[in-house]
Amino acid sequence: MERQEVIRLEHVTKRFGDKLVLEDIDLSVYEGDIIGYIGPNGAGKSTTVKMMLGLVDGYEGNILIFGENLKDQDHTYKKRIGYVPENAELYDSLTAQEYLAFIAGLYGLEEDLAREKAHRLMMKFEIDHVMNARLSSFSKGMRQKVLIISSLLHNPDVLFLDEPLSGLDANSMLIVREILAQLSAQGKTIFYSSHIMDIVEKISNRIVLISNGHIAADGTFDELKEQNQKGSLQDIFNSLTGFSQHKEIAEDFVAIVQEEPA
Amino acid sequence: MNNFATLRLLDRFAPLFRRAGIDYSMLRLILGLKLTMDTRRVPTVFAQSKIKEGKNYFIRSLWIYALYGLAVIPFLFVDNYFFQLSIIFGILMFILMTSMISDFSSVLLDVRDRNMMMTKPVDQRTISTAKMLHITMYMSLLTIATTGIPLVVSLFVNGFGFFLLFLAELILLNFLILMMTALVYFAILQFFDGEKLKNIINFMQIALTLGIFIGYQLVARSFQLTSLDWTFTPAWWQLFTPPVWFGALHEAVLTGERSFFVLVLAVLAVIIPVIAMILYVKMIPVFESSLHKLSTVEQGKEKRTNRLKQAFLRFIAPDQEERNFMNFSFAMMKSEREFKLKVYPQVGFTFVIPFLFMYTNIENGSFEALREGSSYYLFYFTLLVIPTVLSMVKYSGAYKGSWIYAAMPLRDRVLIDRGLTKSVLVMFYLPVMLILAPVFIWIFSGRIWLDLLVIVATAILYAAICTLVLNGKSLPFSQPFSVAQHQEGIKAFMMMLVIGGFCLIHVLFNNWTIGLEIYLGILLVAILIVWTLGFRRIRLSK
Repeated sequence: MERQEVIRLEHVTKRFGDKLVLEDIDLSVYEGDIIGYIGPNGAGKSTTVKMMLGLVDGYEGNILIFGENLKDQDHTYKKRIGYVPENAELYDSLTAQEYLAFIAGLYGLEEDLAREKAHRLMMKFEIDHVMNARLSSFSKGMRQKVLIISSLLHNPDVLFLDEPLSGLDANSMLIVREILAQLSAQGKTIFYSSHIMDIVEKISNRIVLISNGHIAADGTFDELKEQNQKGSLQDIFNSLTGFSQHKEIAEDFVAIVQEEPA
Repeated sequence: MNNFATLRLLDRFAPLFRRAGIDYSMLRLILGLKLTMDTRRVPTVFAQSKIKEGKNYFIRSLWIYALYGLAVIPFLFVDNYFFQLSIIFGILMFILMTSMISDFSSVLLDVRDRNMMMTKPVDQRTISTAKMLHITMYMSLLTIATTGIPLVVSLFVNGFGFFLLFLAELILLNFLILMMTALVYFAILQFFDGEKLKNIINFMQIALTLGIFIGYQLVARSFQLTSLDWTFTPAWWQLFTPPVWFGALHEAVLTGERSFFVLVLAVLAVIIPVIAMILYVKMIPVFESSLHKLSTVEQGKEKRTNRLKQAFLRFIAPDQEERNFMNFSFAMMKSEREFKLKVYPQVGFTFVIPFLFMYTNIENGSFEALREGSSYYLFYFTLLVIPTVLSMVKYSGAYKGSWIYAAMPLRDRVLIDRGLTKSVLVMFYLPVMLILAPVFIWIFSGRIWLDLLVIVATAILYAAICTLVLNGKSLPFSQPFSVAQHQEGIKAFMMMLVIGGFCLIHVLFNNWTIGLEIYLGILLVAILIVWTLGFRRIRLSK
């Protein structure tokens, strides 16, 4: 079966003021891809995602989503996208139920249907008992679960996830990972950014490493291993981002900690 | 969540929105959410698991604005449109602008909206329209509350034409204020980052609060002084004062005044709000995208350590741990915006109070008589800053950070309280005292130096007592602001009465030849006892 191209970036360049954030990025993403989108802080990961969501504009080049250029599209393409941002701010004063109903409404879902679906999803995550409690009282993991539900309520074709597992306990992590695998098997595309290499390594079927505004690596984990002659994604990451002094830095750090006051 | 009266009213205009290309059902959804959140605006103290469907606190506070609005009524009886409406709109603009800045800055500058809604299939125009309608709703309520009674009065006193015009002008004024605020914020954001904008807003809030305090004093007094006989003299600066435009519009429409200058002003009253409105709508996308600056953090400047200040702190707080708490309190009191908003205006007011009283004295006698008299006791008013500040120090917007008290190996609880009290004295009392003392000595001559010394000693003693009474066992910056309830105000007020007691004792000792010297001695001993044993008691009773 021919896999359809879902996202294409053509020569995308983005500047903030004089600062070059992304330079001439080319990238094609197909349905069923789980892309582990990694890179050091400030490498331009979230900028890329924000551009695809229409949060950031003023870039050079073209971004095509579902085969259509963003510049010629209105907002309706977002109906097929789900998004879990990093450090997401929620409308704290709402209850989980109200929040989810609102988000579902923004995606154009019918109210009763959305409510019922949200409730069932919350039951699966075992947070249905706090459905009518305010989000401000939620723990980090509970908020994360609400966010994940809110990104999936409308059954999107593309998912952008930024550290989606943060705050979840080990069992919930397992569930979410399995959910992602199954969604991808159904042909959904997942764009997964994270700093935790072990998870990225296991979860993704394709890894894109971005560094200094360029794509430094793109391929399956096995391909990257072969190209770089390294055993783990962490090692590949370090070698591609040109970082090898973690031992020295740690030694210096510990030495400073242990200094006796003069 | 979707059954607000305002929404049902809005439903009637749904076709209008649709024709303008706005997704009405989305608009309704977003507004419904906003209104729901407004009913919960009062921050919940502790994470509640069950929601009590709160009343909208904003609507509950509207009656205060109705009171403000009464200030306008006397001017309705003046027989000069120009003067009358310039003043009225001056007052109204001030009231509305103040509340716009203090209550709606957060709405206007909400960054969450962008991240939350822009990623969903909703178009920008619908989101912006929802935001504008949300603010407009409240501005209208506020305007109705403030001007409702004056409007009705004007209908009877000034006639129907006046009433209609007044109403129309109020709508224009609302446009103008909303747009002006947004445009000013926009301009600030172009040049500065979000922190700076928040600081500027905070500063404006403080200035406006102080302005209200002092303004009311002055207005009350100016009534006695000036006879209300004003004639209009054109001046170029009137081109820049919106209240005068509205005065001119009234003049032009109701008296048929057709002089060129008045017509220009009248036209401005109509055109500028409309232009501002168009400009705002055009600029919304740019404005929204510049909001991202609000969440960016710019590197702070490194602060140079002032050696003189260090030496001074070392002198008044030799214990290093105590000094540490002083520095901590300084930093908190300087940076906590809500604290500043609650405290700084009152501190500013303290500078003015003594002179307001002297002014009243001079009206009854001469300046010479004042200088010879005993009005220097007014210096006791400087002590007012102490309970004002100390009743607020236990609150903080970031009260959750107070876990550090529990986690740190604290040697002695007393150090916290003493450090705090000293920092309040240094940060708030010292400047007030240092600025007012020379002024007092200039007015009353050097004969009062011993009296001033006594008052400063009293301040030091009094500050310790205030900490003990007002703070008790609570740790500084450890409770959320919403707990700051009326009882706190009552306690602080009681402590203010204590100042009167001190003043009375001072007067009594002053009747003696060396009474003041003795009293000063007694005060010093009392300071010693209270600052050591008194503070001890907090710990013991814990």
